Amino acid sequence: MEELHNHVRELRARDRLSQTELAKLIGASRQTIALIERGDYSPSVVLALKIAHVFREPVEKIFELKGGD
Amino acid sequence: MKHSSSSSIKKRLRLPLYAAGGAVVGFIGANGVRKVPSDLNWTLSVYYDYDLLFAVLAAAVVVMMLWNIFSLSRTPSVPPMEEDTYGESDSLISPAERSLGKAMILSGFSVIVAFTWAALALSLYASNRNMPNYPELFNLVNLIGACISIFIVVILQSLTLKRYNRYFPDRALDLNSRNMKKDHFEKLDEGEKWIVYRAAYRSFQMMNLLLGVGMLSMVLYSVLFTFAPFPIVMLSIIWIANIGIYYRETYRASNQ
Repeated sequence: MEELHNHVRELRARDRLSQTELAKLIGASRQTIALIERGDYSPSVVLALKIAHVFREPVEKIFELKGGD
Repeated sequence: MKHSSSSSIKKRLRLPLYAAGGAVVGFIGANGVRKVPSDLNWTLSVYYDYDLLFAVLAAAVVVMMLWNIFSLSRTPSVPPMEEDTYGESDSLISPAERSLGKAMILSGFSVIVAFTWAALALSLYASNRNMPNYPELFNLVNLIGACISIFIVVILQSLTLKRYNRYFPDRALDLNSRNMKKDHFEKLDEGEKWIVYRAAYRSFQMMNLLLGVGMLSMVLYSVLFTFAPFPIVMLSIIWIANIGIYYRETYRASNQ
């Protein structure tokens, strides 16, 4: 079974952003950022695109499927 | 994904079967059990009818009110600076928000228990008032106590909500609004809505289980004491409504 992994935490550290700051930039709550970083919640396409826009990276570099074939 | 949802539907469909099986086994098992002797006192009474029950309810309300006040006192009146609060932790909520959450839950519980106390006090008053040796003073004190407890828990709840609104001004709760829960839900973002969906689904599953347990316990009550059709019918109606609303919503979603 493939699972969605993400590099939000690493990219946030790279850009020296707190969870609260990232949340404000994409118009979400800090809880949602924490959920995404923990891998508990897979964000919508819209939110993933917003996150990619903040980090100036392609979405597939931030979110990737791992496991399975 | 499809496989897991179909297996969860199968599991849900099995629940009523388990309940029915339990009822049959319970009935057969209890068939030989003789009724409880009528001289045994099962009314949770010491001096007056059901006084012990009301004492337990009053104690529960007082404990929850005190706990609510304690949780509120541990919640700073002004939200701490965000970076100091969370740092880089994985936690979804800060310690202050956790205390506030506890206060919110406790205030909700205490309101329910206080209203239960008032409803029971009213019911006892209504059913006993024409009986000889009617303990008027006890019923009066009981009713007044229940009303005072409602008054206090509602004040405590509004104080708790005030504190919540100070922490989350962008998603403030309005007790005067008819659609308080709906308005609040609309203000949540997608991650928070996902938490609510998950919690609501678990609550739905647990309700199905508890309704079955409630029905079985009423059957047991009938076996041991007296035939109690009204609670069983009420539970059945609530159960049908619970499942009906779930399927109505899934049907609506699939037809959109």
